[in-house]
Amino acid sequence: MKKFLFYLFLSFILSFSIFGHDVRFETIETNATIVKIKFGDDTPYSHEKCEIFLKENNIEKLYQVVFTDPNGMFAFAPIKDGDYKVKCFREDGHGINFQLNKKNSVPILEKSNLSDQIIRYLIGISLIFGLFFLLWKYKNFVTY
Amino acid sequence: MTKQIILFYLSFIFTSSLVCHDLWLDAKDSNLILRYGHLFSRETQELTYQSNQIQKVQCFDKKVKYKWNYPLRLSKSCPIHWIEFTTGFWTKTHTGLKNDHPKKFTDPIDAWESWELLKYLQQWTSSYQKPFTDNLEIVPLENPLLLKEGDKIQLQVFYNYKPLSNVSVSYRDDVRGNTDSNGKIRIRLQEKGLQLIKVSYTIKGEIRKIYTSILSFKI
Repeated sequence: MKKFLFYLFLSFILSFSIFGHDVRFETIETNATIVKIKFGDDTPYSHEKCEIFLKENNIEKLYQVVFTDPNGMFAFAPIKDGDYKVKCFREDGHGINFQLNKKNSVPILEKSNLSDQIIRYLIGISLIFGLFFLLWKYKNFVTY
Repeated sequence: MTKQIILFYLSFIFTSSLVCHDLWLDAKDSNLILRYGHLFSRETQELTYQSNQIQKVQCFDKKVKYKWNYPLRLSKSCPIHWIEFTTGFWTKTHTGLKNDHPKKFTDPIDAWESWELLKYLQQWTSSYQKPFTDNLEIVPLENPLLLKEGDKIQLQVFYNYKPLSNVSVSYRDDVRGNTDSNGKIRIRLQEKGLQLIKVSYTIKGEIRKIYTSILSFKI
């Protein structure tokens, strides 16, 4: 019995060390932020390295190193609240630096970012509508 | 969900923009110095280059022999400077873009050869209304040095001395339109100072060559 218990204990200890080196995976359903990086002409910033730094006590610590996928995207799901600085730099000098802020212990949601061109189109459309509205008001003012 | 979105604060603060590279001449004392980088991004970003990346330096209408090192210095007296510059082969790999020939990588995704050409105009005669090289070249069809901020300029794009149709022309990194069937385009010079008008053209091949030609002058 003593011998049996000894072997049982030994196998238990050994199995722990085996589990320690074992690499496993699981998929988690979570609200990760999908960061999409692209050039001005919508070409994806694909297969490029980005480094993410977490700013703590005014010190930037390397938090994560990622490569963008063929669509210029990477997933970002930080546990800690804080200011995360993303630095992407390509060998030809094209790069981007931006900041992602996570507050109130809730995961960062995916957010699409309007390009300058779309903003310009929206401003243009708003101005046209505004002008028509002013003309309509003026016409009404003159009529009555 | 809306509450969540309000609660969650996510800001994207872009401190640099993603644009093509510029090649320009910067006036310093009695010289013009060749600069490479991003002139019209939020901050002027200058990149260092190697002197062997400069393949050709020519002065039109004047015989000048050039020898160069980094940075390239040119005289202000030349009517038109022409510079051919290459950063060589670029290979897209799964671990980023590399400045090397695709043969050096086992599984390249894409590859190209990049050329930048700069034509800097300081004087004008009507004979300048034609291309000087067999390369990709933007030719002004009127004296650009007489123009002011807000004026329009008529341009013609050539490759191998032939007009190049349907290529996009950009001004200060904004695409202004495509050339017509005669390779012509009219664009407005929106800002005073150094002008950079750019056109790109790709020559297909085993490894494609991307040419970017810049017309530059001051108003």
